[in-house]
Amino acid sequence: MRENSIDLRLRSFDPIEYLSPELFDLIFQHLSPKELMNCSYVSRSWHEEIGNSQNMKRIKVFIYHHTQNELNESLSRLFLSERKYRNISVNLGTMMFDEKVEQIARESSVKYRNVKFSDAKLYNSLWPIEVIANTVRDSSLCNIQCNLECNSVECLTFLHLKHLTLYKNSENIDKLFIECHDLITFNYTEKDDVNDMRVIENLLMNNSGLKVLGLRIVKCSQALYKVVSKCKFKLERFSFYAYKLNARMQSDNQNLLCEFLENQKDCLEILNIDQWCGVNALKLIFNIETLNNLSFNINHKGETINYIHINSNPAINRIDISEMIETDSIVLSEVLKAVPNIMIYKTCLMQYNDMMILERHCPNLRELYVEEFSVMALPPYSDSFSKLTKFKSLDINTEIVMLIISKDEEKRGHFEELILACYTRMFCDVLSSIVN
Amino acid sequence: MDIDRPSDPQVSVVSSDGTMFHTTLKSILLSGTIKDMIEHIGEGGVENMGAIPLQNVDSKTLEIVIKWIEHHKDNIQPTSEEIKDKTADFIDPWDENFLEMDLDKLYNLITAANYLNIPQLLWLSTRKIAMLIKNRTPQEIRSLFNIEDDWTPQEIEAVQKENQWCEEK
Repeated sequence: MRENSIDLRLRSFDPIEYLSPELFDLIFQHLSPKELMNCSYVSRSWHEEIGNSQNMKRIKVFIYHHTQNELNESLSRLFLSERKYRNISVNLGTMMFDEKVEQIARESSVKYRNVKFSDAKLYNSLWPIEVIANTVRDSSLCNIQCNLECNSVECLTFLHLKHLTLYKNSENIDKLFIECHDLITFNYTEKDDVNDMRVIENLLMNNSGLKVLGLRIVKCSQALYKVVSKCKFKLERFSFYAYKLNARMQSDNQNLLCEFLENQKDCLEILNIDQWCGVNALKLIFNIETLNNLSFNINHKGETINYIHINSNPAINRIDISEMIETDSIVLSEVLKAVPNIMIYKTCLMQYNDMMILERHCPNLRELYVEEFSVMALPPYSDSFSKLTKFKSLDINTEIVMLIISKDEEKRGHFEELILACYTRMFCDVLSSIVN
Repeated sequence: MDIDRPSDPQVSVVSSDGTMFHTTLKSILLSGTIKDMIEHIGEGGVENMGAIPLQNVDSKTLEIVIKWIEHHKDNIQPTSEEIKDKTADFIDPWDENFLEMDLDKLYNLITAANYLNIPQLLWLSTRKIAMLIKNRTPQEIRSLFNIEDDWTPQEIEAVQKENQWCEEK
């Protein structure tokens, strides 16, 4: 620019005077948010134009203070600000929303009609409900965790919400979302004293595009099972926990679950379920070709929680228990009953009972991978291990390993691959005989 | 209308102050506004069409615009949607040099590029102003544009407090 050609003493070249607000705004698309804020110091009119600018959507406001007075001051300033912020996050922490601030918020709420509160920022930072009413309706993601009693909620609508997490809310808050039709993700944790699930049932019926569903409920009613089994959505991920559960589902509910699984068999990828759902449902689960991640969380006999995590193979000839936990023998035998053609068994921890169960239910076992044995007494040698072709053990329990690969040549499998971490002399002798 | 015809017909445009300029059809079609106008005329209308009046562009600015469109007539131009995602990793040195002009001319060029709907020229010219602002203090920006500082110290303090909340997204 030929600045020397401009007589700065006589004329102002303020772009605000030469350009329309839209064109003035276009200049700032080339500047960073930090530079944009710097420009707001230039003059009152620049401050005003920038505050109204589309570029404000690039500015993220985060308010957090350690003292109530500082918080009150910032919130009052925020509500009275001339800028049209679009992305505001307030962390109240353990502090309260002061009455005076709330009054200011009420008076200024009209101005905030188009402001979006961003996503999970409501998590710990509930605004007075009147403000939320004017702000959060456009947000595509909402995560509310509070025990706030809502009074004036009728103006709230969340028609286009895509992702919703409700955590132990009052029924009044649940009701806010009854109009949602576009949910993709819905996670729901029930409050202990809520028994009326009709709102949730309606939500499930209305959102046929749902892909991810997580339900943590006190006790699953048959009505809810019915709703889930009839829903039109095609889930990729389904998590289901009922935390006052019976160890086993009632048979009617098992049938409803089977119906649900039938509907989801061409889409479900991840399934987490915490109730023993019966062999029939399990057979269906193992036939879901899209499923690559399955976990059970079994509360057996109402006491101990046994967890089994299986990365199932589409053509289910393989069990992979990838957590270092003690498997419940009843659960494991039911699993193996449901999938009798297991050829590959992989586990982090194998117990005495597991070996017996494997022997009983896996006549075709060819490959065995064990990281650690938890075996107090040696089980008798099993002929079923004589079919093994691959065996890997990272345990140094020589006796168990020798039991499986067998000292007896006639009973020994024809191994193609052995990976072992055992070092005794006798063991080496056996190994050398295998190699020879 | 066949805009790919081998010969590039002449087109005339008239500025707001009555000056007539001649350019080629291919050049003038870089203006979305004029392109829409010509498309409404239909097949074969270009040759018989008279000079196109441009009420919102004066002759000094129109001359600059024509210089730019004639230079860029063979380049593929981004649409206004595409330009939103454009990053300034490379600016044609010809354009850099072209935009070395007085501020008032630059403002007129921005307004004309907007009226004529030439997204690339609008992007370049607004960027030129932004680059003048970039890395300057508020006082330096005031000096650059000869803007009066109309803040009170209390008001400036209030803006400073608000700016403390703001962080980059």
